[in-house]
Amino acid sequence: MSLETFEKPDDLYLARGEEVNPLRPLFTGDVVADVAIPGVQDGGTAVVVAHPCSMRGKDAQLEPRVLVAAVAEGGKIGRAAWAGGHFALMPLPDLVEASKLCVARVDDIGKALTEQLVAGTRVACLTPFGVNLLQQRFIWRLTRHEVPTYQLQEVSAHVFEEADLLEEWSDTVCAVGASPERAAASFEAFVRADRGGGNSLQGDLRDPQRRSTVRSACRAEAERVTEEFRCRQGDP
Amino acid sequence: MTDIATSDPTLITGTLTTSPEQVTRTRTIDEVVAEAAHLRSWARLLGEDVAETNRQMSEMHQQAVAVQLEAKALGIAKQSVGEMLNELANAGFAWRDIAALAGVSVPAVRRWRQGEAPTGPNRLAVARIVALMETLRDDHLVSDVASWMEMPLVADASVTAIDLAVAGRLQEVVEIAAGHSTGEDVLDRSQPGWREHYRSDFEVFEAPDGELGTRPVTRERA
Repeated sequence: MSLETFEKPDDLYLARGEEVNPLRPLFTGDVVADVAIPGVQDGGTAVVVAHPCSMRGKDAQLEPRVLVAAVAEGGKIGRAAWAGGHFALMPLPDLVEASKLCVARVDDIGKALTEQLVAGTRVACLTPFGVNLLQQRFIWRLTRHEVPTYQLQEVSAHVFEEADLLEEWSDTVCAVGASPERAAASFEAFVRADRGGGNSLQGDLRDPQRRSTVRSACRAEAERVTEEFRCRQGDP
Repeated sequence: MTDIATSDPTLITGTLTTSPEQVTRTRTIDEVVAEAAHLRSWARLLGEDVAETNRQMSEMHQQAVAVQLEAKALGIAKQSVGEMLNELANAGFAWRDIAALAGVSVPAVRRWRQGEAPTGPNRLAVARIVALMETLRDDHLVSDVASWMEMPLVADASVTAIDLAVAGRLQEVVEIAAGHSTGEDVLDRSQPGWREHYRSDFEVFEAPDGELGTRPVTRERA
């Protein structure tokens, strides 16, 4: 048995600190400050461990509460030590400070208020590999079952992709003054629209071979929506 | 020593004599064995020569492709980074992949999209991605390059041409597109043991709630 580990801290983070895009939807692996976890902590940092599919209900709306794990300082644990030990922890090196280790304590979990997560300061967003590593350690801790990260990636790639596309869409549409809520609603309507035979762009994202087409379609539509919004605003 | 029957296919006529009379005789088994051994050694040496020549030609071809890509990238780098990123976006590449291919973070690419100027090396790194894309599309007729690069190189592993390119193995991506190498050849060279690494007793399937999940591969489904 040997769980996977990171080569360098950058492998784990999509963005940290000021690099985090506030328009990115809340997602598994997001590290948020000032989060109360019932029975665990009244405040402090937490990481979202809920699967992207289970944290959203109908119409892609976030559930009122989302499963998170507490994040704390981690002392000194070498990179190689993670493969065969410290299974109750997920390494978060250089999370807020270079050469300083933080850890997610995967035993200290609970459902935090979504409104607190959304309103809180996002400290970091994990890369797909970071999310898969978190899930691999979580699964091992709960079940003693080792799942390779590439297999977790196969299951979740389409939802990572959708989060990226929503972030890009919001960047484009909100740049002309649309609200993030309006941007998200127009995105959801576009990707979920029935394109005949029960097919949708959201469904197409499950097929790796169709993702490039979906990206191109979303980019073109975001430009169109932006132009439409600009015209309504009276912007020449 | 018994002569070999004349109907035997190993019979060789007249090759062992220079006599003008063209004396024909049946060769002994010892002579046939010696000749076969000689031919076998000759074929092996020829095979080794061909393999070595093939290896040298592959190396030379890869070097030439690298020079070609670099020359193309230098020309493309005259465009603004915004134009280059637009070209990649229009081709359907994910920003995550563009960032990985350029060796920078996703937020760095986002800042370039919003107008921040990249460093010289980073501008050239973006130009190299465009050069690779154009080479695959124009020289090797790859339709929908982004999709092709996201396709697994072999059926049993999740490694893609994007992964190869991120590792700096651009020439090998071109080799695969050109049909000079297969995904298996490249993985055998770059990732020995990949078959074992990616061997899995689990499969991805659609669960009753419509979402994807994993489950063990059963004999009935395998």
